[in-house]
Amino acid sequence: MDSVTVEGRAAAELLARKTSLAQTATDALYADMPELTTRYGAVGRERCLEDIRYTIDHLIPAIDLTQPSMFTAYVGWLDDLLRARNVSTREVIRSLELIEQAVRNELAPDEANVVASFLRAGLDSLGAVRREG
Amino acid sequence: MTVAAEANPAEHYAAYLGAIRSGDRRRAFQIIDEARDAGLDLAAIYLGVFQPALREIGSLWQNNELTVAEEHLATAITQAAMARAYERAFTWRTDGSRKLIAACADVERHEVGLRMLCDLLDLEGWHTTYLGAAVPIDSLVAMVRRLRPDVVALSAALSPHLPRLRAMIAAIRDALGDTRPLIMVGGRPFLDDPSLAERLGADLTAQNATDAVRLLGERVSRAR
Ligand code: B12
Repeated sequence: MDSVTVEGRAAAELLARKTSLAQTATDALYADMPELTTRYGAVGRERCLEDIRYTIDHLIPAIDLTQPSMFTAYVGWLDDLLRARNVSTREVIRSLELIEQAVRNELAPDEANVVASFLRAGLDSLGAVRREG
Repeated sequence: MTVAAEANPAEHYAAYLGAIRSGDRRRAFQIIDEARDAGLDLAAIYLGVFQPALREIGSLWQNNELTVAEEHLATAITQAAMARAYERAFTWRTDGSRKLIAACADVERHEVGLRMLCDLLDLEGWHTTYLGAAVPIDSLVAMVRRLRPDVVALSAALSPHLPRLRAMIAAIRDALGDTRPLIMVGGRPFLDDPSLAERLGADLTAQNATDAVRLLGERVSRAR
């Protein structure tokens, strides 16, 4: 990872803080959507934490290589996978928004802005999927 | 390595997919034997039958139409069927000079695509050293230093593994400098964007095993 560019720094920070960011976003998602606990139980929460970690795993190389399409392709894949398991696009969208919130709380503003722009690209791509049906 | 004019992998593909979906190993072997008898060569069976079948297995898993256990079974059968098809195509012919070491990124578990590349190169007379999934960087560098191959082929299937691939490439460049081998990369992220190869520090990439064999044939025979 290139430590000179803001992308390089943002990717390195995401890698270093992956565990705490994923935990924060998962806690926020469950606070935000209490029905998830009844619907998926404790196992569901573990899975959710795993999925959010996996999302951050995919965010890192996309930012590091400044390749938003790498992240949007992942988001499309995740949404297909989860919808096939009765998890709605709404939950995926909310999780991306809450990752952004966690990142804004933990990272320097310039780094957080970069991460947010990639998350937004992912959100936009889901919007497009929903409009098309 | 061309497909015989009449032989069409598509019908064998459909039958093969059915066999591995239902976990029927004998049936899968039988279909591959039939494909060979119908005139498909190893490259056509690898790229026309196994590759699309495994990708379809992946989509079925993604769509929740197949369990992880069923996917593992389908993959295991395919690895066995590949070994069997390779055995039938094998010849002792070798040019003994062109050498390649193949390894997956140190966190990468998808190894079938790289195996295909090695098997097809073997049939072209190359001496290939296939290390498979999840190869630690230091041990790869030590082996490259010892064997001095013409080419190192590296594979990654998931974008989160790309930074590790870049670290592998950098380690080979650092260790061997001007005497380093050609570095070729491939796998799913490069299908979407071949320009990634150069950005990670590699010399070459290809979209599939057959293209890679052709490209290496041009590049390496010319260089020596
Ligand atoms: C079998 C399989 C597995 C097996 C692999 C077993 C093994 N021994 O290889 C196992 C069970 C281990 C596995 C695990 C996982 N998998 Co998986 N897996 C697959 C599957 C079904 C087939 C892979 C395959 O062999 N394809 C066929 C080969 C021939 O194609 P290929 O790899 O593209 O290779 C060709 C070219 O790319 C190129 N090439 C490849 N390497 C190289 C190298 C060079 C130098 C060159 C020139 C060319 C080249 O040539 C090859 C031949 O033509 C794919 C589906 C798919 N679309 O591929 C999913 C898939 C790749 N897996 C997927 C996932 C999510 C995972 C896991 C994360 C699941 C999990 N939660 O645990 C883990 C990750 C493990 C890890 N750390 O690597 C997803 C990835 C989605 C994404 N995020 O992008 C896929 C796409 C399934 C899907 N549709 O959702 N998996």
